[in-house]
Amino acid sequence: MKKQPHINHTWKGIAVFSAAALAITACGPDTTGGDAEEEAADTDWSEVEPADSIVFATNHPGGSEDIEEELIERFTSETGIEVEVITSGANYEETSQWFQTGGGSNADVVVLSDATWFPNYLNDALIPVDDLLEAADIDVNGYVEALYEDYLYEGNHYGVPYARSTPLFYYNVDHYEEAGIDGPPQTWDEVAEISQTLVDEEVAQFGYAFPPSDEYPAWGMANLVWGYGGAWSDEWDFSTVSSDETVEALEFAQSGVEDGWANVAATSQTDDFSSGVASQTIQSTGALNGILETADFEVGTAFLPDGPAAEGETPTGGAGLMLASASSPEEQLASAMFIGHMSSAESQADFSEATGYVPSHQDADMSDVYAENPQFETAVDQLERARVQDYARVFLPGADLELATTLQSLLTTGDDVRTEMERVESEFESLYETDLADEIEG
Amino acid sequence: MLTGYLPILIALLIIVLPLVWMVSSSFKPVNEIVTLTPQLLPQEVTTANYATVDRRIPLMTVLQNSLIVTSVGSIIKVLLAITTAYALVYIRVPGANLIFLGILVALMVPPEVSMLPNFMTIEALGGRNTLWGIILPGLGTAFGTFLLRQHFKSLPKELFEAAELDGAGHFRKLFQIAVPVSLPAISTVSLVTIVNEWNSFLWPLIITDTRDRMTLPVALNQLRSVEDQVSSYGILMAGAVLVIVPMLIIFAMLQRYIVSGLTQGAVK
Repeated sequence: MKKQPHINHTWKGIAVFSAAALAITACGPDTTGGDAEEEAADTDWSEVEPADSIVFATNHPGGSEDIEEELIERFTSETGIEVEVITSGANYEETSQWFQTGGGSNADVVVLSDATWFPNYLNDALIPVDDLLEAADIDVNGYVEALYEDYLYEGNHYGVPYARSTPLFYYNVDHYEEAGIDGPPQTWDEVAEISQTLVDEEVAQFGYAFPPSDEYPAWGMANLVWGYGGAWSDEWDFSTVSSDETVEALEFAQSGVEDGWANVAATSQTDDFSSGVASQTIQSTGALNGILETADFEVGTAFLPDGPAAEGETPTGGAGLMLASASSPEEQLASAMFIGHMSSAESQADFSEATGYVPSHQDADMSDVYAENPQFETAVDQLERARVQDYARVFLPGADLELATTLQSLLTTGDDVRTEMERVESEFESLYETDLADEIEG
Repeated sequence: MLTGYLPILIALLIIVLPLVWMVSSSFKPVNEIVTLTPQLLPQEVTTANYATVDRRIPLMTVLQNSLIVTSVGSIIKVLLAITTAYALVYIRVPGANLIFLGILVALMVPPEVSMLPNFMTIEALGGRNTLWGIILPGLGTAFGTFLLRQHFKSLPKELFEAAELDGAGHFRKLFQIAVPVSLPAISTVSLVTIVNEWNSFLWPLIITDTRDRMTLPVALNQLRSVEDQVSSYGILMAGAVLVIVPMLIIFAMLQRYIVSGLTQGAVK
């Protein structure tokens, strides 16, 4: 990774103003999607020479800074293309905000999550990757299909799967043994039962830790809501967020905190689990390596629990690599080569080993890793139960945040679930009207 | 005896314990930090956290950036504050009170409000990812001007009348009379300015995104990572130690002046 002095931006005052105004209002009034697609379709990629250097904006998900640097070094030595790395924030929201503040011209490749790529697409900041990957000789058939299809919108893909994760059920094996529990729970009722036993036996302070609002609770808890037959939305129909099933699922979670078998973690459920405050939790596979490094006990991983209405369906998540529409064709081609490299079978195997993320390439050889740390394999096997996330959480700008804060307050204050979720529903409706209606229906 | 020392001891513990904890944690492996049986001292002393900080962040570069920004920024700020305050008190300017009112208003508006216009201005001037871009917008200091103006007003007029009789101009009156007798007040302003410049976070965060132009606090912020917070506590602690140590040294050096500066005018 070569650091270059600095990028020379020359933006016009107007562009800066609109970008800044966009960042301030945190919504995208300009939803004239379509230009990028046309532009990409017009370019004859066979005549384009890749650029010498590109800018890669990342927030190093899962503590991946060191492994990213290693992969980038390999890319540079293979292709001669320099990659300038910019740490664009500590999480996906900061990265997306940073990208939007720069009007989408401050990076060529950017890490965007399941919930942040679509707003950037709406702002016309992303270019479809299909033709570019073909021009760069990258075979897209190698990707795990479900993970690549997450970036499909209206016939084009807008990214490649990179730091992809699912939520995983973590349990403290030592605590289980101490309390005489045989194995991990299959259903949410068993989670409650086991947690109660762990608390009654005074093995741990809490049996289960729920995530706080900044740990994307709407992502992991989708499994619970789905298990009861509810959802955050049914495509663009938001009535399911306050349906009987969703309310019942959330009341179950709320009662867990009230009855004392569960808590809402103060900083992160990872901390509570790794320190032994709580014996079980659901957290991203991307946190696996951090947990293994931190925990003084044996860590077990299992599939997400089933609910009364559905088998433990697993939301996919994490981040992909997207290409900026504002870059020159030369930079875009070089960037396509770069994202191909970062998501190749070999790179993904190393990336997965270093972080715990699910390898997004089918041919990634993980046998050594699984032999040593079988916990890694649960995440990959669990992909069979993957379910595409609800539109409300991933496509509706601002909805994930709304859900996150509502979930935290529901779990910690004991407010009436139905009233709150009905408020969320009307909030979703108004977000949809202001930010999306014209684009989707128009 | 005890009644006098007890509050001091308690206050000392409240202030020092978190710092001690931070320093101690920076030498702990992560499983000693995230644990239910915390120990004050690390059981297995490790410098791995510092090594990680050093590997990920170009420490010397960002330290140098911080030193340049802090020293240049503070010197200009203090100089501007002294001269403005002097002009407001001793030079007959039409509408001096109005100007002073403007300065007071600036003191009342939170700095975040001017963040966006500042960003657009500096960006248009080509100041993104430059040190002068970090320094420039913060140079006008309402706080220092206000404090020094009040202080200059309390100086005996006779001093300056005598100097005037001896034929001293404004420049000499300022630097040979006002400044020397106001050293404690100026030190206080300097110290507050230096600490603010050193710790300044939001503005440098917004205006820089390449690591070789970042100041220390902004660069250390980059050690945080989503979904990996649990194993980064030790690294963050090591980073925090590196930010705080230089400030502690400056405090120790200026301590004598701060105390006399703060009690200035308390006894007539």
